[in-house]
Amino acid sequence: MSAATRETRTGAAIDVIELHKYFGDNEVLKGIDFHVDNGQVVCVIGPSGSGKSTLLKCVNLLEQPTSGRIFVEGDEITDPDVDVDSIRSRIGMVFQQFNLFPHLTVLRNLTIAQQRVKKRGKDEAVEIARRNLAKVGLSEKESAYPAHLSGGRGMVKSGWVYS
Amino acid sequence: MAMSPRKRARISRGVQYVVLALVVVAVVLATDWAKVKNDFFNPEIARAMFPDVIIVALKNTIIYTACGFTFGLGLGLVLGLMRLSSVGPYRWMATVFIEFFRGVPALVVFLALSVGVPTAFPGYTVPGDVLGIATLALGMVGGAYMAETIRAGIQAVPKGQTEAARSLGMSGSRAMISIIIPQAFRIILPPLTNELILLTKDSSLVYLLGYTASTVELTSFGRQTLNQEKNMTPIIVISLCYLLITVPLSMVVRRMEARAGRAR
Repeated sequence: MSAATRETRTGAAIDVIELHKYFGDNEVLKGIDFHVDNGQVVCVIGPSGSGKSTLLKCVNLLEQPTSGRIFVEGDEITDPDVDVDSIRSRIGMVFQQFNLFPHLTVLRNLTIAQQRVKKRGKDEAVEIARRNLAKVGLSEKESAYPAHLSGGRGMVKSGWVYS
Repeated sequence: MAMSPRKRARISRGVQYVVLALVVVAVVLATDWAKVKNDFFNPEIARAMFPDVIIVALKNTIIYTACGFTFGLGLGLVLGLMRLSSVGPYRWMATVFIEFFRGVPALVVFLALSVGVPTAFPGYTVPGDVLGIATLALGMVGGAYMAETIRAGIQAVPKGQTEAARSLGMSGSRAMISIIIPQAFRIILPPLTNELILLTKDSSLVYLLGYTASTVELTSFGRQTLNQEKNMTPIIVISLCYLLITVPLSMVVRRMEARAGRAR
């Protein structure tokens, strides 16, 4: 089926249709077609430079795909009229370098998006953040800065930023 | 007989100390200390400058500098963001402003605002009197310099920080305000301190505007006393007053840098 006519699969968490991405003349993604069901765990494996990161960045539109359509929980993020920020706020992404905010404490790293994007009150945001820190055993680190976390702890933490 | 390299180094160091000691002794002996004390460190003249040199002149210098720097920082931030704008005309306007006010001496800007404006537009003067002109002139010159510093600071924040902020659903401007600009200011703290120190000294150009007993700043105050007393002491006193501003400032910023460094 062509990209224009195929409907998104109901129940798919992520649905990617005919995704192409060029950097200049270099075609990195050559018509990727895949979907991820709710609760499904998927590994993308390939040599470095093969476009894994580009693919992931396309899914939340940090990279603008050259063509193709991408649906996240049924909402098309590649639709020019869609509110990209609201879809992004429902996607969790852990970066290779974590990209924690180095100027903010661990607790503030966890609350800033809740307060600024999801418009939660400070008390609620702090409570959720503390609950999640407790789950991963980092409660005592809440007022530390990211530079003081070990690599593994940084990764755990950046994962929880998005909850 | 060949000397060992270590021995040769020790002799060379010894010679350097001897030369230094000879120069110091020569200067001490050749100087007329009574005259130096009278011309440069005259206690009566210095005492007569107090308390006005502190409670009026130093205070005014600080006020002019603080107002100019605050205005310049705001202006610099706006210009820096304009330089990075995706809208061409904003970039061009900012570039023209920056190139102009960086390239023109601060003295000329003071002249333009104090003499130029009332001459070219009769009946109109820059509002706010001396403080108004000082704020505007120091702010425009300082803002032009700081704009480029701020732009560089924003560009120095890793791209991943913007991506991380956007991936959380922050808008572009929200990411800029909450994530990028705070980190940029940590990076550019040292050059901004430089700019503040430069502006402290540029505030001396206020002397061009004339002064009254209540608006006088350090340089005019020192010059006034110099003319009355025909003595270098006032210059020494006001120099120390400038250092009284800039040295503690450097120390505070060094402490801030150390603290920011720990968070990085």
